[in-house]
Amino acid sequence: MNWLDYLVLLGTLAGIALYGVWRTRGQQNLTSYLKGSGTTGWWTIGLSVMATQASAITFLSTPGQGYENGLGFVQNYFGLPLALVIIAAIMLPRYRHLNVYTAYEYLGKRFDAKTRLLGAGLFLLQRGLAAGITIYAPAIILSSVMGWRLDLTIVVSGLVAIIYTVAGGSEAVSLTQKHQMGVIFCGMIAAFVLLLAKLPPELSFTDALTVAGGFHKMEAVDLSFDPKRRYTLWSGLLGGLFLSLSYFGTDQSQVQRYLSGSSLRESRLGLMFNAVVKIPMQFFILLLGVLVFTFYQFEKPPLIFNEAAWKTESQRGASEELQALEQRHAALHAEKQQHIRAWLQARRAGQEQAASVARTEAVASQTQSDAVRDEARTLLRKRNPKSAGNDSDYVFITFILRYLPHGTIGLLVAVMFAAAMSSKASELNALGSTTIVDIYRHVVKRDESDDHYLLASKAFTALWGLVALGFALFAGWAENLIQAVNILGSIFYGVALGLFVVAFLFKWIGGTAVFWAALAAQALVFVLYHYLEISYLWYNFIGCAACVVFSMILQSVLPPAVQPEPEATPA
Amino acid sequence: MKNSEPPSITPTPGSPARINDEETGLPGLHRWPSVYGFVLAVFVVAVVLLWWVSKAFS
Repeated sequence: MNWLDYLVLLGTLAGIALYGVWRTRGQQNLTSYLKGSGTTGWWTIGLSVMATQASAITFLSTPGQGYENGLGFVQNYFGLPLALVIIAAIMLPRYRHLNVYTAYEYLGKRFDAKTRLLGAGLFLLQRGLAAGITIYAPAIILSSVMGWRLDLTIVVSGLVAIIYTVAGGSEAVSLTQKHQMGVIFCGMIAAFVLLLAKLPPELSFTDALTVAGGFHKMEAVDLSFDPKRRYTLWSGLLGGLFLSLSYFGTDQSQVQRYLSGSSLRESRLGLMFNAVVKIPMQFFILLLGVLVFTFYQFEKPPLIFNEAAWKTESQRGASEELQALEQRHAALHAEKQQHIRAWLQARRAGQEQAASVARTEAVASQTQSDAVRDEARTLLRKRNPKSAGNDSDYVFITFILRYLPHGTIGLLVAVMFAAAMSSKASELNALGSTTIVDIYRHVVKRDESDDHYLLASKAFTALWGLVALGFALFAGWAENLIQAVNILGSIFYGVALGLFVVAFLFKWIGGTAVFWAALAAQALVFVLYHYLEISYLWYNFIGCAACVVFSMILQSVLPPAVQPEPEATPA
Repeated sequence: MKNSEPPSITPTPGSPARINDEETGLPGLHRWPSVYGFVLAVFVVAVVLLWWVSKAFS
């Protein structure tokens, strides 16, 4: 990166953050701090919901997914539009009608205080720990590639988000997210155009897709019923539906975004915007990765994209082994390139037989090339388990740094940071709101003034920000901890959704039944996780189903549910 | 349509946070059939297009 890139990067990020602080200056109202000014339109809500979900990892890892595995990952999003329709039709009207600040308040009104605390507790535990990873995961990749200090990358990116979130609350988060998404869209379109321009001149867009398709990278929809397949239409529809219902319907970091709408209509339209745009957007990001794959069929790719890890291990004495692998990889690449050119020539000449033969040979070379890459990655992992990481995460950023012009590099690195800060800001905003509304005001201090709660909201938001920063700074020392946090997140969602499904659909079930059922369901999910080897997506379904079934059973042996007593504090 | 000013978070006497039977029901799906229909139609078209892309470039 040169001065122009740094100018674009720092100008973009600082400009958006300062704009958020400036636009929300002098805000002293608790409601506007937690929910926004109540004038937010669907366009801002839609972008805000999208920015909350799209973290930096989305833009670092997803093109890498496309490069390695093709378009199939898009199927994971197939349940999303269906979930958003259900949320907009059923859940959102309830939240807005009861004028709740958090999703867990609804549980308090529908059931009782203990169920509300359980829902809020599950969220705080899961999201509080995950907030650190939101900063750490992109920082480890960007600092490694850029040669920046990891701790400084974490502190700078984290502090900027903390400052404008604490200062401006929900409104600042929505405002900045709108502009951050603008930067993200501009950056990704620029990358797409420049990537197309970098392809060989004789290669048309259709040729580029044909080459990718020849290596099975264009298989976007898999109708197979084989449960061992990673991404299929069916796992995407069912698993994705439950995951999206849980994430968008019960996770406060999302609920807070669409509750800020000026009306039910605006909130609904914001969700419908995501329902329409999300699948094409994920397809587009994956397609970037697929086109990077095509690009590297005509340009020699690095054996290992994580060049910092490669250099470190070369200097530590693995140089000869790595060089030997590098030579084999280069020879295979030259061979494959010849086969691809022969394949395209034969295809253009209408010689189907010759085209088929050349394509088969190219695929065989690619298989051997992949085996060499696996060998190199295994070698690196064996020598230093921490250094290897997931090499596909480095594919897109390495391409950007090597082949895109200055200025664009700064813009695309700004895309990564903007995405990191936007999801981080939503998390902090939600953590602060849930702590103040469901814990502090509900349990600790019930009868204070709005000014007191406003000050406490800012303090809790800042506190969660510092906890996340601390976690991110020490995460590198405890890789297992990161893995544990990711797993915890996956296996809490189903039960959280179960609480809300019972609340919305089973009027005859009361708070005591659902509370104990949720604890039992969570225990069951932990046990199954320990003994079964199934995709984490399925735990969303299992946890939810177990919570609902256990609630029914418990309620059938308990006295009939009665309407909850009004809570001492209207939440 | 704009919302009226949301109520203060501070307790208001006589406005208990009680939920009635109607509020646990399922409104909504019948209110926006055209919008939801449009979204679902776009979703079906997107899946069909992706399936076509898979076949066309396999």
